[in-house]
Amino acid sequence: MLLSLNSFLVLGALLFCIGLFGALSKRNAISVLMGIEIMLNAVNITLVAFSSAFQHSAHGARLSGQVFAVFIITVAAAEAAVALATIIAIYRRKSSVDVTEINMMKW
Amino acid sequence: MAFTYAISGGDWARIAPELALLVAALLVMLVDALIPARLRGALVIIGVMGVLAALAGVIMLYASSGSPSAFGGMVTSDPLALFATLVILAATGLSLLLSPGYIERQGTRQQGEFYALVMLAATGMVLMAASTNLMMIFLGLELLSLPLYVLCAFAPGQQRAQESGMKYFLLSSFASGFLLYGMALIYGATGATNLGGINHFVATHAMSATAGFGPILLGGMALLAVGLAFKVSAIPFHAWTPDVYQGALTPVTALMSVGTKMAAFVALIRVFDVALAPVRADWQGIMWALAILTMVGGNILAATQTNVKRLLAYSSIAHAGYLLIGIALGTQAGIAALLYYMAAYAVMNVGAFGVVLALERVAGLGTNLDDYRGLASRRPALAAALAVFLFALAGIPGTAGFVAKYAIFAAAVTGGHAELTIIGVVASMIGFYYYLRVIWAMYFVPAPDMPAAEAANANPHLSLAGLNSAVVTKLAASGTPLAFSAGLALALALIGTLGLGIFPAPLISLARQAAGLP
Repeated sequence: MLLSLNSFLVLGALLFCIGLFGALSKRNAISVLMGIEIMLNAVNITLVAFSSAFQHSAHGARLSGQVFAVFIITVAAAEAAVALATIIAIYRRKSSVDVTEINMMKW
Repeated sequence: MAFTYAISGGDWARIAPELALLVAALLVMLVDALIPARLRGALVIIGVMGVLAALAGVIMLYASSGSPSAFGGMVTSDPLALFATLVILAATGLSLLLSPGYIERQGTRQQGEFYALVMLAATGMVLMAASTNLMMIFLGLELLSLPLYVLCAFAPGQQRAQESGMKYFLLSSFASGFLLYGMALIYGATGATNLGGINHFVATHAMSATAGFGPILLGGMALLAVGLAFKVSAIPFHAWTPDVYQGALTPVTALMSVGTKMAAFVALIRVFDVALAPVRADWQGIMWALAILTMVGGNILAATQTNVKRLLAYSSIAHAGYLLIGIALGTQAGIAALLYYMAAYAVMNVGAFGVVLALERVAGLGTNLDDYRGLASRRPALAAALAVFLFALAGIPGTAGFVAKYAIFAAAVTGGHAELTIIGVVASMIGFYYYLRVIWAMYFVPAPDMPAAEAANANPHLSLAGLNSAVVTKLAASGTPLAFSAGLALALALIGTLGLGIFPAPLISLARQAAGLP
């Protein structure tokens, strides 16, 4: 059975929605971070799927998607490092990483 | 198949401002490791030198001829990028000058890291403004965001700052997810990530909203608009702004409120007003609605604030609304007005945050509206400076803010959207209320604990002896002497605010050139 472009796009969209739901519904900061990472990986799947669909186009069109995905993976790793460092700093003070308790400032 | 792409010296010259800032950031880190701790305050000099070198690069690029595009169409040094770079450099330079003294007062020992991160964030802002490829826009955005996440959480042991950094990270990377999904869909619909290729595709293909590439492109545009609206803090994507601006160190807030906005607005101009101009009918409604919501909502929410830093955060949301008019119009006159507005906003907003910073004590104390009561008698010069900046933000004639508002509202009328002008003017009226409330508190309300009669003729030279000890402590606490560099930054911001208001012509012609008008 051949998988079409649409299958991958649907997979990407579903993953994005799962990540979105996780980022919005979880209270643990690390779970929120994981939700965001799932969203970014959904984007990677979409990019690579489009990239392979352009296999008969010019090199530029085809490779852009793959290069973009590599950049996203790299940046996501850097982001995770900064995020975990911030989470540790907060955990040391409050012994909690519950995002609903990070609420000193309001309205 | 092999790719060969030779990078020439000319390519590097085209990114001279970015390189100057980057080298300055690396130099700060290197020198920081070599000098003794007590000298680290002097690292700001390297940062300021970097900004001046970048400025020289911008002037060189303005004078140079030839194609502005570099690195195979990834970045450009066209007048739009150069104008944005000027604004970002102004904000960076002023924020750097405001930092010495203040960051020691906040208990920061790692000054080298602080200045290096500020320079890296500025590099990212300039790079984002120079990008002509979706990939580079994303990389510029992340290069500006990552240092800012750290800078927001920088004040040691201040829970507010950590909270600010955490919130900024979670919401900003959440928004990056939307932005990237939008970029991926636009790439899928058009087969290009460089803006020229996207423009070529949408200009040569008829779009249908239900078939072919149409739905994917529409979805991509919507997601990209959401992602960038987060970055410019447009309502309803503004929730992070007040918390992050309030919790972060004030020089960081000043840099963030101007530099990030400028970079994100250039990205909006390049993607929507230029690359996607052929399908304007499909996105104009979103920008129109965002502009109205942001103008009205930002001003109404600001009117209810009691903390000056937070009030300025909501005011920056309101100003993003006026700026979005320029995007929604999509005309060159609108873009020129937006750019002039952004330059004016840079000096007056950094100036206002500069005064807040001068009055701020440790951990955000001294930023409540009550702390500003009777300021005119205690710190007359600072009160007068803040009054000028707030009048400019409100748009009083004679200041940069008035010319900027006039330009953008005039562009809206000539662009056929008079309704945006009417709503904008009404929203600015609400704006007057809260700016004047601060000025009222400074000039016409006596300081707390101080008897009204004494406050009325309080003179710093003769009245100290006669006041009770509580008031003396209070005065001492709010009487932190102004560092020389901070005074210089405030003076420069004042000159800019009044200068751009009285002699706007040179900068307006520069903005018109950047927008592609004669």
